[in-house]
Amino acid sequence: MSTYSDRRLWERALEGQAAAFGELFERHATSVYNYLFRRCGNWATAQDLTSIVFLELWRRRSDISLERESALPLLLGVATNILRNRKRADRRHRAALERMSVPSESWSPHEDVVERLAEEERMHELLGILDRLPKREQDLVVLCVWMELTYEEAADALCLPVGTVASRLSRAKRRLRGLLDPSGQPAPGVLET
Amino acid sequence: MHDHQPPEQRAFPAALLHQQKEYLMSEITRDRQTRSRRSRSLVLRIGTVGALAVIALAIVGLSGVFGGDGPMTIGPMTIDKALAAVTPAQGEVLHIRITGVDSDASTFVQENWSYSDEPWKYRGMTETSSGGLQEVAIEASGLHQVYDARTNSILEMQDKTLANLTEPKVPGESYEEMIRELLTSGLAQEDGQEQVNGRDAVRIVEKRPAEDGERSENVYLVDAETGQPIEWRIMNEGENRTLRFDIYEKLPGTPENLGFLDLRVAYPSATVYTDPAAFEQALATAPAE
Repeated sequence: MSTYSDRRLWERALEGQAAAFGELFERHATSVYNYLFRRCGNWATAQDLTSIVFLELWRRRSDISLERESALPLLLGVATNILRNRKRADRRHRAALERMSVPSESWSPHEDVVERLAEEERMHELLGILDRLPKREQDLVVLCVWMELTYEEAADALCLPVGTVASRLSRAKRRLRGLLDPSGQPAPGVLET
Repeated sequence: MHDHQPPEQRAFPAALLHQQKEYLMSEITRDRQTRSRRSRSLVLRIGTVGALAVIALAIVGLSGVFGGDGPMTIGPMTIDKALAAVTPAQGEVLHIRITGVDSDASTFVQENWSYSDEPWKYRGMTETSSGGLQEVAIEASGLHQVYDARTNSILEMQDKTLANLTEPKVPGESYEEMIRELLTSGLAQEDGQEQVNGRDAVRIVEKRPAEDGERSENVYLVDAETGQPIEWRIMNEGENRTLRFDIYEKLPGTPENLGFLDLRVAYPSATVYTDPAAFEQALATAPAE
């Protein structure tokens, strides 16, 4: 991979260099994949949606200006919108998903099936708790706590002022503490940054 | 649950990484080629209509037509503008009144105000052709109001479930949502201009591929300058519905404008009930009109 920053790769992609966009995908596919899993709790869905996030980023390129060196906050913001509008996105991207279908000899979805199922079950438990928060707060818990974005990066991802991120996340943490441990003690993991 | 950590991150499957990267690169190349063909086609069309006009525009620096200030826009710019116009903005009260006319000539009016900032607020009403009026106001704080026009009374309750919603569950059809769906479907295309009630409107049509098998046609007309909705003609399996946007305005979220979202403010003379049973009783015992 090149040493270009994401911003430079994005500029090159806009100039018509498809390989630069391919490199952006290679850099961030894993983070986007894990973010999607942590939002939907299903590895197969996360896998399908990963490329869709990049396609959607390209589709909206005229509205997008990459201010930071890293494209990850932007990609996670796009992923958040796709998950929020799943029904619409599914319809729009159905053809793309069909074109992307992978030959079975190159990839077996049954690898590590036991571990994957256990992870999905665990993720569903966590998402069950998270689901008791307003959606806007859920976004921030996953971005800032589980994906370890800074407040500034999360603000970029969700197009919010940094102050709103801070106050909303603080509110979310307070609520989660109440949900996880009525005594008010922070529970490990969900709240620790 | 033994702890509250999500599972460890997994690498994106290597076999898929290469294959999907290739796919994305080919999509981007194809997309750029398509756009390039479209631009060439536009240039050719302009050429056949009036090459001299193009030359004249070039001499004056291509101002006006391609500069973006005038009402004429090209393809995706209008779609984007139309989408922006129906996308809620922070800190604004969106006020919409729609008159709908169905193919059987029945009409209805739908009017609503919405505020999408925290805490969100929504007020909506639907008037049917039989004269019924239903109106509700809800907000994230849990306040839930219902207004009955016949008895001029309001039922006001606290609904804790509202606090869990990040946006209101809108009673009836959300046409703004449906329009956003149309504009982001990838099937909407600009199809010329026409005048609607003296306004310059851009026609946006839904070009649905024939293989979808649905006989439907949507013509959505937006203000050529602002992209705001003017009219939506929906034709589906012989059933037509025309929606006219009589009012479409974005108001600043001042206390005065937020007052529109409170039924007590809207109907100051109404009797307010907090007990649902008493409200029902008032409705049941009111003389029929």
